[in-house]
Amino acid sequence: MSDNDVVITGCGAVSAAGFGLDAHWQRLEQEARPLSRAARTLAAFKAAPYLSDRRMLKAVSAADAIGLAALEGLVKDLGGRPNCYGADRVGLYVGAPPASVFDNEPYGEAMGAARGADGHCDVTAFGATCMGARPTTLLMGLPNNVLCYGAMLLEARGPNSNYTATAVSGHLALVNAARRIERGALDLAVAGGFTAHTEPVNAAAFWQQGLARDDDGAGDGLALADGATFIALERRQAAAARGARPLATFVAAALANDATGPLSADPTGAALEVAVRRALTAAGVDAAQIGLILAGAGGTMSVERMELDVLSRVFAKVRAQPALGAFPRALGHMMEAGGLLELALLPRLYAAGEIPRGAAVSAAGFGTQIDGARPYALVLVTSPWGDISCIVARKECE
Amino acid sequence: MSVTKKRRVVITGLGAVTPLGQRMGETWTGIIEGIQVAGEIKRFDASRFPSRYAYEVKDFVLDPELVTEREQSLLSDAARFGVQAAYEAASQAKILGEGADPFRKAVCLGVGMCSPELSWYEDVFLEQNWAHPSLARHLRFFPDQLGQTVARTIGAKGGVTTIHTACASSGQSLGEAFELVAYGDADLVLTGGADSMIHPFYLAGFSLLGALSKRNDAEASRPFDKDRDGFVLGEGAAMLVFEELEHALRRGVPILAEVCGYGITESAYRITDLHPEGVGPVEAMQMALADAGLSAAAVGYVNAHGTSTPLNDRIEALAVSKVFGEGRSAPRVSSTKSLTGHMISAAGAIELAVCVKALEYQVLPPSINVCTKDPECLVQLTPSTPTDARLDYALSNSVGFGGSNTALIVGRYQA
Repeated sequence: MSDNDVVITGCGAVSAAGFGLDAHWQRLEQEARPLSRAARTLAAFKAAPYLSDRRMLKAVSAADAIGLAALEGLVKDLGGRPNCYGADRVGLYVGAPPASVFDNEPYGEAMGAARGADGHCDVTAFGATCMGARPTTLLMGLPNNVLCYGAMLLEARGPNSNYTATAVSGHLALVNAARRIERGALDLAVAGGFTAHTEPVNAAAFWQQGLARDDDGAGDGLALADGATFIALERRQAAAARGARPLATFVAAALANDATGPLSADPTGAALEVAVRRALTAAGVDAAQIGLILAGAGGTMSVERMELDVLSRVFAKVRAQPALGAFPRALGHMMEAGGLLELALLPRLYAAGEIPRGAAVSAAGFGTQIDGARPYALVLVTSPWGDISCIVARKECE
Repeated sequence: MSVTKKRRVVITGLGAVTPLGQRMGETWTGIIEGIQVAGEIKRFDASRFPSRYAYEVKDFVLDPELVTEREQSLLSDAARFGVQAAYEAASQAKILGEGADPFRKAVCLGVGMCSPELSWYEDVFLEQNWAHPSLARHLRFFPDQLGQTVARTIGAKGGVTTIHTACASSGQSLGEAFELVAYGDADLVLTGGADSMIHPFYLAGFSLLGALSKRNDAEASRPFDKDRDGFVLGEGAAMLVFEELEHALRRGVPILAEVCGYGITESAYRITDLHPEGVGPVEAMQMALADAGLSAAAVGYVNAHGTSTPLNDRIEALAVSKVFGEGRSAPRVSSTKSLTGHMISAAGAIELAVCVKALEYQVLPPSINVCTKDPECLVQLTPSTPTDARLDYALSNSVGFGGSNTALIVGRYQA
């Protein structure tokens, strides 16, 4: 443990399981069942009660509203924006979904008004009818709205980014934010992601490609889930100086990809294995020191099988295998927000001493009991299109 | 392998598909010769939109040998531009095929919010047919598809990053690529951006925001001109290969320029407007200078974001003058958006590539379409014809809706 460690000091989270860490922990403790789309969607989510400035909802998408609510939850969890940090020393890193088809819905009326005799929208006529649409329509679809409004909320004028790399976006945000702190470019970084792929077009598009489960949660593929998670990162010393209690320590990470082209993954898991081994090396940690693995459970059965095979190979020589769990079992695949809640819940996982029922994974060689003497955890993100992220975190001492 | 001491980063490949040409060389020639390619939109009938002009990439066909059949079906127009440009950059840098450790090669791109054709939306908005088989085509417009295709093309397994911060997207992707190499997380990154917003929805959206020029003539994109009234959409892609110096020297590839510094800030002000004092861009430029270890006097040319909107150009000019001064020693400034249009998420990448060419040829890119310089724009513009100059360093600015500001500095490579 060092004063220079980058530690996680707060979390805001929202999903169909509820708002905040307690709600998500309760969901994880419930028996896992295939989650229906109704149990994963936030289509009816009302963000207004969670926002300090509801005006921002005027020009943002439904997905953005989810992200902003989680960011507000984080600020609340921090006890307000820590005023010891100057605006240029605070940065925001966001994993965001691509623009939704429904962000263009305000043009629907203009398209209808431009329908020709053949029943199709006439683009020439649309050139005139579209000018009656809501002036902020384009802005609603901007994938960086949460970055913009979040930066205003946090008074964050320092380095920032907005990642649109689907499943690994949240981890990209976290890793880049942590690196900025490590290099001394930021004092406080907020990192996270938000997602809302359960809307009808995205859900259908993934399903048609064989990448997502049906509405009942059955079948092979991603159980697409809506939600958002944001966490705060600081130096341990700075966090202590303002009286904040760390949830976990970010230790190291490795990112990789299969290089097999779009929407396909390498079933051998070669890239994942390299990423896991490199993350352990970067962390200066031996596989035997890992007490807990939270798998990405990347959606399709072939990807999940590959992930388990890789973990079996990496931990083959470890005498007492670590505990293995997977949050998507209980919460669904939160895509751009995936792999973050796991870090904020490390204290509860270690305190419980076992994988909660909803996140249990049955895999030969891996257990459910978490050994508190092995303080390091591995948090993975995998996907059916070969993006890979592996983070090593450490639980805090009692 | 994150390191705390920065490593030197050089550029070993450039590629571009722009309205001026489908190779970087053609684009550079078009810029130096001041070729005016804006015209009435041909892709669809835009005759009843308030803004009908754009800089379109014409007659583009992606070389089918560069992609698989499956990739063809999963790539948007913008992604196709991107694949072609990436192939050109990778060819120049000689990184195709076996060689470098694939896990030390990464991809980092700024990718736009491209959209399916209007007819596709009929299924969604007019028919509400959620089972329509064409819905899967929507996945073409996920930014990841370009990144994964490029990674497969160059055999990069060190991670795929895609970024969207509106018009700052590729400026930011270049900056993050620079840091990946500088701090030891990769030895080589293929970086850049691709976009195409010449689409009825985006033409409508920008028109509704009052951001587009309504002049509807070939000289409508006129950054820093007194009579500018908005930007003109462009499209295309630009890709660069950033590489650790020793890695490039070992491979014996020509070095085109050195990446020296990067600045990134958030204005945290408003979604579309810059702070009236230019605070965010000022801080980004200062951060880039500090990162490069340079004084402001070392920079000889600034490729401005220069969109040709009244507000952006005035405030950006103010920001440049705050950082570099207003005297004769201040760098010359131009915005090449008068020649390429606003390539949105690809803008920062093509503009840095132009800076690299300016350093290579020791030429200031011209400011065209400026009839009367806006007296409120406190910068020294480059002349209207290309001018020889002693250039050691050039800076490229990007400013995006949403408040992200980037500044990148490139320099002539010196051993």
